[in-house]
This record gives sequence, C-alpha cells and structure tokens, in this order.
Amino acid sequence: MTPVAPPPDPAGRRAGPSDSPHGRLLVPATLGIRHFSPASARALSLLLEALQPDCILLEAPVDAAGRLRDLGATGTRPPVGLVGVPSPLDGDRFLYPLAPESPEWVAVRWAHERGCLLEGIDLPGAALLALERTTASQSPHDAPVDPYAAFAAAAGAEDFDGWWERRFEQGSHPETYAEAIWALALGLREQPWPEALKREWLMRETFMRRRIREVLDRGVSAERCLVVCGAIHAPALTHDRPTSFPLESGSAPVAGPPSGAAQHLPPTAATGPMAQLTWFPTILSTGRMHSASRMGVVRPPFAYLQLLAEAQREGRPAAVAPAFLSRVAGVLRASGASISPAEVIDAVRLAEQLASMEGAHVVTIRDLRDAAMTRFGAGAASSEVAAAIDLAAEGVGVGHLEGSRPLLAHELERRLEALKLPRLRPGLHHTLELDLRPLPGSIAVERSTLLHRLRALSVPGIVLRDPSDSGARSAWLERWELRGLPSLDAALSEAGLLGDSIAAAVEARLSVRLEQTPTLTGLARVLVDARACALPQLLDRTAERLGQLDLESPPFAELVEAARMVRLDGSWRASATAANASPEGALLDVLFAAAIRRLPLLPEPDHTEARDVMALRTLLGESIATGLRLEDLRVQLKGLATGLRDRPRLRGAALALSLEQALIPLPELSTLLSTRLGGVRIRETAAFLEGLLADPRALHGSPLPGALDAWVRSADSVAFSRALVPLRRAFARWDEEARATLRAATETLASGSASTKPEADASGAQLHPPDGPLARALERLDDLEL
Amino acid sequence: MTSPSPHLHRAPEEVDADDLALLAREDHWPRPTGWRLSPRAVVTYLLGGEVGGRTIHPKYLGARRRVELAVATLATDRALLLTGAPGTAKSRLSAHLAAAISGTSREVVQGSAATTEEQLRYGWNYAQLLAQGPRLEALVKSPILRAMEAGTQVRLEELTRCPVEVQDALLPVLSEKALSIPELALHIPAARGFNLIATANAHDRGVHALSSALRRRFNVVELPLPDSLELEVAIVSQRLRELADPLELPAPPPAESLVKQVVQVFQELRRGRSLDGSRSFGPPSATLSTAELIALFTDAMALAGHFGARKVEAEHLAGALRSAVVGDASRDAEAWEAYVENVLAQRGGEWAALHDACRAAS
Repeated sequence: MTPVAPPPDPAGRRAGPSDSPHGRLLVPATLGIRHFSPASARALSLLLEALQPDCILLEAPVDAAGRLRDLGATGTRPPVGLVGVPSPLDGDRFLYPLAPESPEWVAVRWAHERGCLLEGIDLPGAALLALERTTASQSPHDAPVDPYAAFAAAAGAEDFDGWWERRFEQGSHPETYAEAIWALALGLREQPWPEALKREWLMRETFMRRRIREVLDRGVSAERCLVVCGAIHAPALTHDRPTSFPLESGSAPVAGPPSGAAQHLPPTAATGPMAQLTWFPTILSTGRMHSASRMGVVRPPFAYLQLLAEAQREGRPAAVAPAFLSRVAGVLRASGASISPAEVIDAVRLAEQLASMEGAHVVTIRDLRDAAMTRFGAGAASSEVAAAIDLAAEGVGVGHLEGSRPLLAHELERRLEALKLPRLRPGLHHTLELDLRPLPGSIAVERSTLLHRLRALSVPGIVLRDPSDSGARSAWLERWELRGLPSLDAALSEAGLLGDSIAAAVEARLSVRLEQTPTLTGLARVLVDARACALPQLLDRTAERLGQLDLESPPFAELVEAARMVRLDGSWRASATAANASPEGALLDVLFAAAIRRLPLLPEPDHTEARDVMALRTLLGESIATGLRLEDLRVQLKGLATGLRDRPRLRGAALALSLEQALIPLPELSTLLSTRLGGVRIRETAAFLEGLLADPRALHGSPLPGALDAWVRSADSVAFSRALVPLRRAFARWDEEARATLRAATETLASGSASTKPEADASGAQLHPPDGPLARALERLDDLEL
Repeated sequence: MTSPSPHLHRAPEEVDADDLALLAREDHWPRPTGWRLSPRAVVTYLLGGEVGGRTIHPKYLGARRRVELAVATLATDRALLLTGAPGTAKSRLSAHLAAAISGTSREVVQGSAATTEEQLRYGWNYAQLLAQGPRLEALVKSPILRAMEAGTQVRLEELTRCPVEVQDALLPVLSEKALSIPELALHIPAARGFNLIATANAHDRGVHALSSALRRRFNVVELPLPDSLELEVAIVSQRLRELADPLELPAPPPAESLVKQVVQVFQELRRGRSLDGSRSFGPPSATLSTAELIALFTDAMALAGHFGARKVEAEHLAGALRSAVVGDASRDAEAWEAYVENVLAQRGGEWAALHDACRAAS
C-alpha cells in the first residue's frame, strides 16, 4: 500500500478517471502534506522510495525551484530557506523556509541526491506576495469562525493542532497516511473560509494544475512524477473529487491567471506594481522562523516536533514527555529557578494523566504545556515558565549552508576589524566601555553606532547595560557586553532579508517600526534608536512624524516621557548638535510647548503629576544647559507664572521654572510674592508655596530665598501669621539637609540687614526675630503645632 | 414536590445524588482505586454533559482545562491546591470534587489563624486519656486521618490562613502518605483513594505564604474570575436558582436584563474601564467577586420578598451594590460616585432605573 491520494493503488498512482483510454496516466500521484510536519515527511520519504519519481512537483514559487534544489546539497543543515528579494529593494520579501523533519526538506534533499527534476508549481513569488496582500486587505480582521477550530470541534477535539498531533504525528502509520490526509483535506475545504482566501486558493490551484500540465507536456511521464502540496490543495489537483469551493452568491467568478512568469496577477491598487524576485539561499534559526514564514503555521514547535519524530522512529513515544519536560526544567534552571527532578517526574505524571483522560496513551504538547505551567509555574500565568516552554518547544537550532555565509556576516567582520572590536566567535565574552565624548582620535561613537545597529537588528549577544545596572557614571558612558553565540549567522542571515548592508537592514527595520507605531513614546523610541544608529534620514522622517502627531491628546506624563527620550544628551553624537536647527531640537521645542500648554489644564497635581511636572522642569533645565534656546517657551512660562489664577500649585511650579530660567526680575518677584503670600485664602497660598518650593535644589543660585526673606521681614504680623502655616507645610516636605542649606543662605542674607528692627504685634509679642526671620521660622518648623 | 430540606446547607453528594448515581452506572472508563467515578466522569459531573439520555447540569462554569488539571492532579499522588481571588468557586469546586471522587465532601478542615496541629493530625479525649491513658478509644481523629484510613478525599479550606507551623504538619501526610501516632506506637498509612484538596485565597499569599517544601507537594490550579459577561451572568443565574430553595428566598430571581446590568457594573469596576473600552476610571479596592454578586442578589431577593412587591427592582440592589463596591470609604466612595455619574448616567435608556437607584443610594 503506497500513500498517495486517493485511493492509492499498489503502485502508488491513482487509478480510475485519470487514466487515458490508452492506459497512459494523465495525472501524477499527489501527496497532501502539512507544512513542517514530521508525519508528512515520513509518508513522503516512503512514497519517494516506492515511486522513485523522475520529477517532483512541489508547491513552491515557480521561479524559486531552480535555487531550491541547490539547498539539498550535502552539508546543508536546516533550518535554511530561500528568500525572494524584490527589485527595487523596498518591497516585501518572500521566504520559503525548510525545517528539519519537514516534507519540503525531504523533497528537496531527495531531488538533489537522486538528480531528480524539482519544479515549483505555485505562482511566482511576487504574484504570491501581491495575492496575499490582496487577500489580507479583503479578509475580515476578526473572522467569526476559525475554520480549523470548527473542523476540530466537528471532530470532537479541543483544538486543531492537538487533533493533528494525535491523529497524524502519533497515530498515523505512513501507510494509512494518504487516506487520512485526503479525508482531512475534504473536511477542511468544507469549512467556512473567508471568501477572499477561497478566491486566492482558486487562483493558485488553477495555476498549479496548469503547471502540472505544462511539465507533463514537456514529456515527463505522469507515472514518474509526484506532486507534493499542502493537503488542502490536493483535492483540487485531481479530477475525480470535488475540487472547487462554493463561493457565496454575488462573489465575482475568478478566472485562472494567464501563464507566464510575472503576468499571473495584474497590478491593482491593492497589490501595487509587480516586481520580479531574485532568490537567495539563507540560514534560519528555529526560534525565528515564525516571524518570517508565510506557511500558515504560527510558532511551529520545531524542537518538539523533532523530538516527536525521533521518538516515533525509535518506537518509544513515551519518551517524549520526560525528554521535553526535562528540557523545560533545564531552561528554567539556567535562568536561576530551582526545579527538582522530582518535580519533573510529577509534571510527567500529570501530563500522562491528562492524556489518559482523553483516552490516549501518549501526551500532546498541550498536555505538556499545561503540566509544566501547573507544576513549574505554580498554576499561575507565569511568563517565565511560558517563555521556557516556548524555548524548549521551538528550540535554538541554527541552520548551516554549505560553503556560504550571510552577506552581512562578511560586512560585520570587516567593520569589527576596522573598529578594533573583537570578532564575535562562539565563546567570546567581552565587556566594553565607550566614552562618547569627542576626544581626539576617539572612535567610540563609531563603535557605539555599530553596536546600536546590531542591537536594533536583534543580533544575539549584543547587550547594552542599563547605566543603573552597570554603575555607569554619566550619559556619555556606555557599557556593552558582547558574546559570541552560534546563532549569530542565522540572525545576520535573517537581517539580510531586510537589506543588503547592516545600515540598510537597520533602516528597514526601524522604518517598519516607524510605520507601525502610533504612539508618541513609541515614535520617540524610534527617534532615539535612529539617532544612536546614525541614520539621519530616518531621524528626519521620525521627527516629522512626531511633529505631525496631535500633541493635545496624549497624557501629560507621556509628553514629558517623550521629551525625556528626545532630549539631546550632549554633543558626543554626530547628530546631536544641540541646536534648534537639528530635528530633535525643533521637536523638543514642540514637545515642551505642548507640555507647558497642558499645565493649566491639569487638575491640581497629585503626587504622580507633581513628579511629572518636576521631571519636565529638570528636562527644561538640562535642555537649555545643552544649548536649546526655547524662546517661545520662555514667554509661555512667564505667562503661567504670573497668571493661572485658579491653579495655585501649578502657578508656583511655573514660577519656580521661570526663576530657573531667569525670566522674572527681582522687583517683579517681590511683587508677585507679596500678592501671593498676602492673600486671604490660606489654602491657595499653601498650594502656591508647595508648587514653588517642591524642589529644594531649584533654589541654588535663585533670588527666591532672598525674596522670601525680604517678604517675611517686611510682612506685617497678620500677613505673616497667615503665611506661616503654608510656609510650614511647604518646608516640612524638605529633608533636614535641604532646610539647613536654606537656613545658612538666609542667615547670610540676614547678616547684611541686622539693623532692621523687629516688629511686634498688638500685644507687643515679637513674632519674628530681627536676624534671619526665614531661617528662624525654618528652625521652628517641627515645633509648630498649627 | 419534595419538602424543603430542614438544613441551610446540603452537601453536594446529597443535592446531586441522582447525577452521581447515573454517572456511576454509565461510567465505563477505568477508575483509579478508591474512586467512585473515572476521572472523565468526574469532569462530566463538574462541567455537565449528556449521559445515558439525561442531562447532567454543570456544577462549575469555567475553563474545562482547569477542571481537567484539577482532576488529573488528584489521580496522581500530588495534592491539589485551588487558588484564586475570593469568590471564584474554590470551595464549591473542592466540595464537588470530593463528592464525585469519594462520595463525601464532609471530611473538611476549615483553616484559620486558630487552626491547630491537632485539627490536622489527631487529638485526644482528655477525660478518657486521663482516666485510661493513651488508648485508641481516647484518640480523636482529624478529618485528614479519617480520610487516610478510608481512602477518600479530604478538604482543607483556606490553607494559607493557617499558621506556618500548623501547615507543616501536612508535610508527612503529603510526603509519606502516612501518619505516625507515637503515643500508641501506630503508623497509619493512607489507603488508596486518599488525597487532599486545599483552597487558598490569592490575597492571603502574603499572610502565611506556603513554604517551598509544602508548595512542592501541591499542584496549584488557579481559578480566575469570569472573563466574559455571558459566563458570569450564567454563573449568577444558576446559583440564584440553586439558592432559592435552601435560603427560602421569598422573591424570584430578578429579570435577566437586570442581572446582566449589575454583572456588567461589577466587571467594569474590576477592570477600571467600560466594557466597550470607551471610558477608563480608577477601579475601587474591593475584590468584587462573583460570590459577592450572588450575595448581593440574594439580599435583594429577601428585601423585595419581605418588604416589597416580590419583584426585585434596581432600588433593591442599589444599596447593596454601593456597599459591595465601597470597601475603603476614603477612596472607593469617590470612585463609585464617579462611575455612577460618568458611566451609568451616560447610558440612559434601560440603564436609567439602575442609575437613578444608585444615585439615590449614594
């Protein structure tokens, strides 16, 4: 019995209507597969050995097949793939991945080893990409029914993947595979797929049938030919079973595409202009294939599938649970968790018990996941345990291409050498401190730029230590940790899908982030990365996007956070010229203006908002210190300090900011203080003082202590009594050191005016002493019970 | 019509005796030694289903997988710890698990700060002890010891409210599956079928955290608050139907539309935003569990039945609703009033009655 679809005859070819009256087979044997499935791979291996075909027709882009067969060379180790790069380079790229234990890999390897013809039968890569875009644009984002889930429910299963694993990966014998996959394909085709997807499939299947005919017309015998395609397409490539989807009434009938490489799908508004793809081999890593694959499988658990395949081959299916859960425990132990062997045994028993409750003898990955979460994660939704399970399931396998290294790996080596940085060989562990100040002959900024670019490309082993972790002393100091990891080439290979150079790949990746990030802080992060990666064009584009945002909507705290991120951090970066002329400078001006505009609209700040106001104040000070002029803001600030009748706390904060920027001359300050402190509303006075005196540091070099001292000195006893409570409240928030500093400052002031006579109230009691009244008031703060 | 039970609370094995008998009759899956039902049948008992042409009504409405994990755990030799916020049906699930597996849910220790080691292991009848010395007749067995001898499930409620040194008395029971009584030179091994189902309030973790040694002996299954409006409405409606008889509630459960509104209020306040995502607000400090919802409705049914027109209206619910939400008066009162004015008031239409009642109650 040979597993071909359906029903197979002993020779592995279909009988019946496909035979011509002369006995010649018109349609080749067809095997439906699931992408990345070891069960499909096993069935295909057996069928290839039985059929010994001269030609394999694979569901792969027709223009990729020539390069695809080369991937089967001895020495190549999956995961690897072919990447189709458009010309020009700004379009989507197409990835055709080959995983270990996958049917596609079996087909490619077999074709290479046996010198067999390998043809792609699907639309060209560019057409597939365009078609996929069209489908995505026409499909509802939230389909009411998941067709796979509907199929699983009809089969009495909780989920499709679990059903597949039990039915095929564990339960299917290669010899019964063909019947089972045929039944699955028919069942799946009856599910409620989105109309746009059905139209896409119809178009592709029409093309596939035409391609099969073209190959046969070239003289290849159907008997010596094997079609390998996704299971759901298999019924459409034969003639004796229902092959078409019932489209909903009103749907436009779809004509088959014309033959010819780039003409299969005419350009439309949705698809854009068609571009030819150029195909390159690429190394992949298992943990990252999900991000690039278009094969419809989300995060395939490659390492788990490999484990499963090995256990099936060795006839030891029960070995999967202990092996997998030990791996999970190993990952957790490596991150510092204490997982005992007894707990692994408990988890295995729990997983087996879960399987037995479904009447099964072998666990599925769902049982293993749940057992691990329950046993190792104490039942809670532990992200650490979930991440460990994902890592153990996906694995860290890195492919290898015989005699080939990624283009970006060569560039990286050259750059590392030029910048006198160590080569990232496996086993390297190197820490590096970079002083970014413009010192003569320093190449620190260039080194930093390269490392930031590698970091932006998620190259493994490149870690920028948080200054607070590393004890870095200043913003101009960066501390990096470099590790050489085996997955470096895979990461660079994948980065190569984005661009032909490191800079181009980084720009492409950050551009995607720029397009996809709607939030103010998200864009600010892109800007920070663009600056660190020295990408001036992207910097301009990001600043432009940020400038176009509606800055009246984000919360005040987000404005301040964005300003913090955008703030120029010195002149040690080439782009950070600390001037309003730079895109960051102009943007910062806009952000500060928006934040200050928002101040009057804020409710009286609670502790959190007060912290944000304080952060804004610090940022303004630092920004001006590094050369930002902020002329417009100064006018705004002064307006706030002298206005804001119903926001006394903010009015105080704005006055403090204005004093820091020397916007208020002393006579004006004295008048302001006299008005504010002499008011009859004590609550307002208190709030004003709290805003004004929130940060003791702000008083260094400020005329405020002197002005306060003068006011206390000149105030009559009634005004002083009224202000004493608010003063006490405001100063009570300071620590003792800050109070002592102010005392010292006001005593110095007082020594210059010792001749001033003390005032007395109506009873003759002396309310404040002649020397340093503010200082004495401060001393008495803790004794006052008001 | 059967006469109402004279007792306020009936054990699940009494209330659902028919379901248990039917399942035992129709259950052809292998049963672990000491179990009255197979694990599959236990899951069906808890989650409901069709058996022998009859409908088994669900006792727990929630994620199937969590129930499967709980049952699977009890079929191994790990003990089960059900955790979750107050009012997530931990005790209910624990009682039904014990009833289905062992036919009794009455072997139970109620944990508290006053729980002693004797309540977990064994004590003495001191009159007999003094009169006759240590003899088997003078021994007062704990529910755990009785369950070990009988090979049944035993329940331990509020485990983390017990002092740590008392919790540690469980270690030999869960490790060795045996209990020594040195005074009588006895070593009592647990019969097959014995296991322990503990519950712990997730909020009590910091009060008496489990030692890692004890935690390792439990599989922990966390029961979440219901995540969908429909599920929580179904839970509340089912419980109100079940409670009407034992509590002799004089009014029928409120209309489903009113139940739905109040459940929505709870869910929105828990999340700190309206279900349609259009409004955000500070959530109050109260847990706002499903159990509190049910209590709120039973209070309203009593109020409407005894002092109203035997029909639960918004006015019967509003006062209790406010009391449930305002746990910490200093901050929750403001949050509640803001919710009433900014969210409920905007809805108008069929929400007007609830809004007016809540406003009046505030």
